[in-house]
This record gives sequence, C-alpha cells and structure tokens, in this order.
Amino acid sequence: MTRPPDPLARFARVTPPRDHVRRVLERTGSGPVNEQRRRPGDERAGNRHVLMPVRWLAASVAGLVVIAGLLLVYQVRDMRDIGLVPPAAAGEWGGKGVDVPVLPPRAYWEMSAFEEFTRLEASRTAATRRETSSARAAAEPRGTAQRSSAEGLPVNGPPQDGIAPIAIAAIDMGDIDVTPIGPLPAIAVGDIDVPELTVTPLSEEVQ
Amino acid sequence: MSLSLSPTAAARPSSTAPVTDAELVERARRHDDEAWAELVHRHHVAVYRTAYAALLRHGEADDAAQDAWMTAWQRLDGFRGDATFRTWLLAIAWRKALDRRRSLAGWLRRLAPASREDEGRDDMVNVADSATLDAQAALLDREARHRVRRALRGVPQAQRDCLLLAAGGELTYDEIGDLLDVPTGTVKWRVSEGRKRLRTRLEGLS
Repeated sequence: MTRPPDPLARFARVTPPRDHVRRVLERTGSGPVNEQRRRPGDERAGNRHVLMPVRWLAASVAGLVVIAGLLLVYQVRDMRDIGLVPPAAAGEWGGKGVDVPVLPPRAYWEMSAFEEFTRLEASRTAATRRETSSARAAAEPRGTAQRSSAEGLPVNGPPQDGIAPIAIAAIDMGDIDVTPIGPLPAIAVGDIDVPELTVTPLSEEVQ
Repeated sequence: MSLSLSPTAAARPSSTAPVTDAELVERARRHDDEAWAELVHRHHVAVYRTAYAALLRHGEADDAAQDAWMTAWQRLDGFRGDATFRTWLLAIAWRKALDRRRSLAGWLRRLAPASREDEGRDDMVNVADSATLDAQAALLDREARHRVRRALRGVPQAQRDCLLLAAGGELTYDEIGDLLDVPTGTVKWRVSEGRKRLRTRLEGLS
C-alpha cells in the first residue's frame, strides 16, 4: 500500500479494526459468510427487526418515570393549595374553632394579624394549662410540684450542674368558699314613658 | 471459469465481483447474505473514515460506523436509488457520527484529550502501513499524527470537517457538499482555509 506523503492524509486515511467487518455482519444477522457457494435466495436467518438497544430503552423509561414523578409532585402541591388535600401537619389550629365573637367587618380592617395570633395563642395556652391543673388537683390533693417544693427539691427535674435549685414556697390550697348567690331581686317592669312625637311639616326651601 | 453447456451439470456459481452496487442491493433485499457481505466489504473503509472525520476517535468512529451499517441494513428496503448506494450509506454514517458528536455523552468524552491509548490504536489499525516501516519511521509517523491531532484542535469545526473528509480520499468535493448540504465552492474554500490554519498550527507546534 502506497502511503500518502501528506501528514494530514495519513491522519485522515485510517483503517478500521480487523474485526470491524465481522462485527458488522454479526449485528446485521448475516454472520460469517459461508465459504461454500450457496444459491442466491436461500432462506437464512436474518432478523431485520432489531430491537432498540437496552440501554436506550432503560434511559427512556427512567426519563419518563422522572417526568411522571415531577408532574405528580406538582399536581399534589396544587391540590394542597386549593384545599383538596389537607396539609400533612394540621397544626394547632387545624379543625378547631377559634372562640372569638363575631365582629363587624370594620373591626377587622384595622386588626393586626400578628397581634391577634399572639393574643389567641396566649389565651388558648392559658386555657389548656387551667384544664390540666384542675384535672391534677382533682386527682391528687398535693401535686408533684407541691411535694417537691415542700421537700426542697427542684420543681423541674434534678438540679443542673452549677445552678442552684430554686426554692419555691409551698402553696397552700385553701378551701374555696363559694357563697351562694342570694335570690335575685325581682325586676319590676313598668311602663316606659315615651314622649309624644310631634311631626311638623318641613319648611319649604328658600329659592 | 469454463462455461458448461451440459444441462445436468451443476449451476455455475454466482460471482459478486463484477456486480454493481445496485444489483447487490437488490439481491441483499432478497436476503442474499453474500451480496450484503460484499457491500460491507466494499464500503466499510469509506464508512469508517467518514465517521472518523467527524469524531477523531477510533472507538467512537467504530461505534458510529456499526450504527450506520445497522441503520442501512434496516432501511435497505426504503432505498429508492435516487443517489448511489455509497452516497446514501455515507450520508447515514455522517449523520450517525454527528449525532454522537452532539450528544451530551460525546461532549463530555471530548472534554478529555485523546488518550495515548486511543492514539496507540492508530498504530494497531494501521498495521498494514506500519508493517512496511521500520521502528524509527513508525515512531516518527506516530509523532506526526499526534501533532496533526493537536493542530486540528485550532481549526474551526466547519473547516475541519471539510478538510478531513477531503483528506480521507473517499469523497469528492461535490459529494462532500451534498453530505454537508453546502455548495461545492464553500467546501473548496473551507478546505483551503483549513489547510492554511493547519499549516500555521503545525509550524507553531514544531
């Protein structure tokens, strides 16, 4: 073989690998050509319906799964925004009514949402603590906190290192005297003096 | 080969040597594996060089050439004969090579410079040339190819494509123009400009 003198030509005129033709014929279903002569038109296995390479199929399926997953995420988020799907964490206010008297609309115009939330949260917390303390008082005459404070132990768990326990004086729960309300005074309903209304005709406008 | 006139003699075996590409294609459509094999033998070098002109890497050129042959084999029934089989086949090979070049994976592979292994394959696949060279000449030849590869990086891609397709010796300027869908004059200009740039780069590297 005559070698071209031009270095570019020598670079460009490459030769395929020795097994290149064999692999082409194997892939196209022809296989190695039989050296023995055969009649043209003989039936031979030559599957022209080659399936797509597996790696491309796997990549396509993976891409479709990713797209479907993203669409599902966005769809659920939209449904949650609309309210079709309840949020995962309902929070303290979810599903519970707020005990606030209905005010006229004008009252809400100048209302601060943050201040209202703080006020409502404080009142709700105080109500919860009253319920808890009343339930404990009914179950035990002297609660754990009172016993610990009487014995000089810290109220909230064992003392921390370097911090002296806070001595809390015992709180004596006295009896609650409830004075029954006496009979209510009778309400006398009398006549209401309504002054007589005098309707005078309107004066004519001075033109 | 002698011609037998006896009716009981065996049929004269068919020969593919003087058969044209069109006849081979027709026979390959009828599942004649020998005809198809003959087509592969005739054009596998041109297909490989066309793919190599786009990719400049033996491994990728081999894969692109394999894909091109597979596509041609699958679409053989759709070959209408408007152009020659060779032109049609090389167009498929060029498109396959471009698809591979434009793919993200191909772009990532080309970020890394051609390894010595890939260039060493130059020596292996060109063993027909190297066999006639002594060791020193083979080493010089390999170094020259390495310099050409480095110099080609400085040539714009459009000029490089035309330059390598023309230098491959498989396509005329008209065929390159049809392949790239540009006028023949543009192909000639790109080849000329590409050669100038390549020469300048080689002089700078030497």
